[in-house]
Amino acid sequence: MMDFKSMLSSLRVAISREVKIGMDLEFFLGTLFEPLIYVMLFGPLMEKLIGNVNFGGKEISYLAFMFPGVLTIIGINQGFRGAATFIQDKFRGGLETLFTLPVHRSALFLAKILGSCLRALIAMSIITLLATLMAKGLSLTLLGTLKSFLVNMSLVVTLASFMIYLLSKSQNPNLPLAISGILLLPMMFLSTVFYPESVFSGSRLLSLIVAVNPMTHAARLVRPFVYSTPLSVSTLLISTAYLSALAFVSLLLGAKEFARALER
Amino acid sequence: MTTVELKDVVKTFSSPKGKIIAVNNLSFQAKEGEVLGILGPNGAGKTTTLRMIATIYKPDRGTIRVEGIDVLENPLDVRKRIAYMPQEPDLIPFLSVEEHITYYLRFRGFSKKEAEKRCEEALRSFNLEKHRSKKPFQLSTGLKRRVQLASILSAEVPVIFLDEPTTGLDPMSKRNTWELIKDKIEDSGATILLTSHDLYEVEYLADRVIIINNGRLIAEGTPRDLRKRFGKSVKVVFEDPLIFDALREELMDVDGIKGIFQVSENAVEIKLDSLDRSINNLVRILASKELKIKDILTTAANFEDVYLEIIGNSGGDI
Ligand SMILES: Nc1ncnc2c1ncn2[C@@H]1O[C@H](COP(=O)(O)OP(=O)(O)OP(=O)(O)O)[C@@H](O)[C@H]1O
Ligand SMILES: [Mg+2]
Repeated sequence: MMDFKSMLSSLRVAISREVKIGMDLEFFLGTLFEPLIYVMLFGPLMEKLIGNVNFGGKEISYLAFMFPGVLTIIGINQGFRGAATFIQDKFRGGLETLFTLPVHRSALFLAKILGSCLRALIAMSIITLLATLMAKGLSLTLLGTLKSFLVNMSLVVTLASFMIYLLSKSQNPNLPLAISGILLLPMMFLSTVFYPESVFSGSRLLSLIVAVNPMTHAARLVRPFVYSTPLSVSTLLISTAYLSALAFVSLLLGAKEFARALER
Repeated sequence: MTTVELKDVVKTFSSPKGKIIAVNNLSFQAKEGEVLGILGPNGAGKTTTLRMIATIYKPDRGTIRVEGIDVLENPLDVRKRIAYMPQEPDLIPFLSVEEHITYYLRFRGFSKKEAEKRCEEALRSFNLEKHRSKKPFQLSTGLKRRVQLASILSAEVPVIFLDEPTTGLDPMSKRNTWELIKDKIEDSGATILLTSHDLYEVEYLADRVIIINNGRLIAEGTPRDLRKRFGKSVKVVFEDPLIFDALREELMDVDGIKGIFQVSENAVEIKLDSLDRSINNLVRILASKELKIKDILTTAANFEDVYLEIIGNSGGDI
């Protein structure tokens, strides 16, 4: 009981520290800028080109169509950036002292993950606000919005934990940059963020990659949440289970390696 | 009472070139309220040892206890009792001086208010007030060290580890740091483990010293003890100039004589195994050579000589 209380209080301190060191200029420019381009430039321009998109029998604007994808992009962006404060701590100093303080290392780890989620939440809220103002045919409910945020935050948890997992084992602080450089675009384009699933129906390999890509599952869930269109129970169960399992496994792996981050 | 206790501790690292034995069957103790100096050449295993006691690394074998608590069984309880100052000042770029100190204290369980209060006191007593909102890149090495000391000391824990607290400091800052350590830590009755390459510093601050090399303990005692035990050389001054090479030939193989060096045209320095036993031997031999001895002086070895001799004797690659 005592332990739980002290764990909570150190989690609070750790989160406050995360916010302080994680909400820097890089976050506000680096994270918000790219999605803003999608919503303010790419979306409206594409709309001029192709007009409306038919989604589940509903006519929606292209901007409205790609909006859930933008939320998901924020999710993976923040996920890849989720280790930013860990890089500071491990490679520029801080972790050595932190690891000798009377704090559960899992609380320190969790604070980093929650910090990334918080950054994603801020970014998603700003974009959502903008999109509702700009996109025709986007009628968001509060519950739908929250649910879609939750889905994308599972991507943040998965990727941020995975990055911390890798960086705990590695001595190279540029690893996330390299990995996100390789993975980010294929993850985006081999998913249903920009186009419907039918696009991939010709190739079995591509379909397989699309099917295991967490971004596909995120998009499958987020679209119905955002457009209030029907969502089959099987999709809901499978995609939720898949995303949760990924998040859970990386969280465990990340927490375990984080605690040993200075052992090598 | 024993505060820190290591028993047969082993720590290895794997590297591309194979296994590195950083700490090799190391055992020692530190008593309550004692300042224990840890000496040894680069790579001797000092930092690795401190990191194991401070629960950063896990020992491969052996036991480590802090105030009776095993570091492997109950690391969190150990961490409540210790404060550790790493060899490299590890302040992070985005936090100011006062934020560093307050977070340090809040992580130690102090309320926000209490942490801020203690931080104010620390800023004042460590003369950091005018640097309070500076970020690490605006601070000199000396100031960074002072920020770390301020954090550690305002936490008031019973066991403190300082890994080379004055490396990289100018002579003035070094003295200041020594005084801070002497005043603030020693008065609090904390047990301190301190590593250093400055032998003067260790002699000044430490009650007792251990010397490690290649991960092993090679000497232990008070600086005075070690000086007595290892400072075993005599200077022999003769009435007349001497033929050094001939004398060296004579003495080289004598039991108990480890080295002979010419210091002037009529004086030599002779290193001995043990003072009492070998000196009689030496005098007898010299007398039989019909050399007129003017004076025999036991040289007052300084601590640095003692250290070099101990390390030199311990073998291994340095
Ligand atoms: N994380 C690590 N991985 C691999 N080898 C390590 C690691 N940490 C230390 N070593 C090795 O262990 C040995 C002991 O290193 P340690 O840093 O403890 O020495 P030290 O006595 O503190 O030296 P210095 O006086 O230079 O600070 C060295 O050979 C070092 O290279
Ligand atoms: Mg060291």
